[in-house]
This record gives sequence, structure tokens and C-alpha cells, in this order.
Amino acid sequence: MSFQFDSLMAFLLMEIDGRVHGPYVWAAYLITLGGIGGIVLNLRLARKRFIKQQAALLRRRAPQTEHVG
Amino acid sequence: MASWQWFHRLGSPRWFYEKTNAWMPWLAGLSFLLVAIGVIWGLGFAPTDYKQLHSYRIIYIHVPASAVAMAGYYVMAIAGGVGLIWRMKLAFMTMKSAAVVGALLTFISLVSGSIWGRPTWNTWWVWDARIVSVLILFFLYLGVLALQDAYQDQESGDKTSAILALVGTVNIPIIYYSVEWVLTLHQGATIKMTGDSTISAAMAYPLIWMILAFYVMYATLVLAYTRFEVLKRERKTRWVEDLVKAEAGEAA
Repeated sequence: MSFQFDSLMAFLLMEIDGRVHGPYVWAAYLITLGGIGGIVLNLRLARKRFIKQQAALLRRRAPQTEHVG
Repeated sequence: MASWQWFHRLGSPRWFYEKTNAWMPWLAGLSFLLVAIGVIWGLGFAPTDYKQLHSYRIIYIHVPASAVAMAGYYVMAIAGGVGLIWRMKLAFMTMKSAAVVGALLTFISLVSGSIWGRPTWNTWWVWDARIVSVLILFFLYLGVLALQDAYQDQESGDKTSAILALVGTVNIPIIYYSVEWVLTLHQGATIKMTGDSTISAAMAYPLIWMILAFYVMYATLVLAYTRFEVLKRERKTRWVEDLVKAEAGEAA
């Protein structure tokens, strides 16, 4: 098993016989990375926002009520 | 009886949340490692295809995303069925999380397939049986998500979306067999459970690796989303309030 490209440029372009496939391959991988990264980031931000909102809500309610879980 | 204890415990979202707490960093790390190795292997070290040349390297994300999107639909439907039969809240939460992750994977499958189609078939899109049935899968996932928010009360949204998830399972065998039943531009299965695969071992190993990596990543994402769903739905309970106070205190 060996690296299939002679240089970084060859790896980026993925060219054989004048057919450049790099932009297609890299676009597919980057969109996948963006999608998965996006969903992870969205979850982290949503969780952070939720904790912040709930904490503010609890602070407002704190002197008034007791909660039973 | 003891072997079913874990199932009954799943009735408690709190038990699930606390039990999975320690798993998350390990699962996230494992997912990242498996995907990273698979991407490097597929992009740089797998041999070049004699016909499709380098464009075939898209297979290492297209096939795993498609396979897990299809299998994930069953996960969502089974979770919906469990929720309907046993009225298990956690099952509905899992169903919703599986819909989010499944929709993303189906989107990746469609987009990567479209990009792969351009250098291979000289077109971005064809109204082919396989592609259209995957597009329907995407709409089914979106439908389940839309129905979740279509009702005032959560219970009605859960039940209705579970029914759609169960009905939609009919689409999975259609996707799988579409390339055999209908003459399609889309190629048949590359790796076969029975019979000879149409891919060389040097190309197949990174593909199998990436399929495994996507399954682990799927499990991690569904778990992470389900845990967040537990927090949202259980926000009025004492244990979530305590958790919020502790985390908000740490952040302050």
C-alpha cells in the first residue's frame, strides 16, 4: 500500500490523462465534513443556549417556588 | 427476567442520560479516529480505478452515508414502534434524533452521488429509480421531523411521526432492489453479502472500514442528540434543574 500521488498538487488536482477529478472529489468530502461538523456544532450551541436559558429561568423562579422532580 | 432489566430501565430518561455520560467522549474520539483513518486511506492510498480514475474516491463517503441512512431509517422506525407499543418516552426521543442524523446522511448521499455523477455520467441528476427512492427517503426523514413540531402537544407529534416512520419502511427494500428491478443508470451493489463483489480487495477494505466508521459516528450522533432531547423534555424535573445549576455554575 503506497501513496497514490507524486506531489501535494497531484493529490489536490487528481489529474490523469487531462481529466481533473480533484474538484469533484474534494467538493464531496468538504460538503460531508461541513454537514457533519455543522450538526455537531449546532448541537453544542443549542445545548449551551438551553443551559443558559434554563439557568436564567431558575434564577427568576428561585425565590418564589419549590420544585418536586 | 434479569436480561430484560436494561430494557425496563430505558423507561427512565434520567438513567439513560447518566449511563451514557461516560460513553460520549470515548465514542466521539473513536468516531473521529475511524473516519479520519478511512478518509486518508480512501483519498490517498486506495488504488486508482482504471475506468472512473480518481472520481471513484467519492465512494468512500457516498456508500457509507447511503448504507447508514437506510439502516438508520429502521432504527428510527423501530424506536417509533417501541414508543407506540410501550409508550416509552425515550424511544420517541431516539426516533427524533435518528431522524435528524438520518436526514443529514441522506443529504450527504444525494449530494455526493450528484457530484460523482457529473464526471461519470456527465450529468448532475437523473430521474433514476435508485436516486428518486433515496430522495423519497430524504423527504420521509424531513416529514418525521416536521410532524414532531406540527402539534401543540408533544405526544401527538411523537405518535403521528412514529406512524409515518413505520409506514415509510416500505421504501427501504425499494431503494435496495431498485437497481435490480428497474434498468437504472445507477450501478448495482458494489459489496455483496452473497455472491462475488464487484470491487477489488484493495478498494473494498477502506470501503468496509468507512462503513464501520459511519456506523460508529451515527451511533455517537444519535446518542448525543437523544441526550439533548432528554434534557429539553425533562427540563422541569429536579435532576435536570440540578444539572443546569451545576453546569451554569461552572460556566459562571
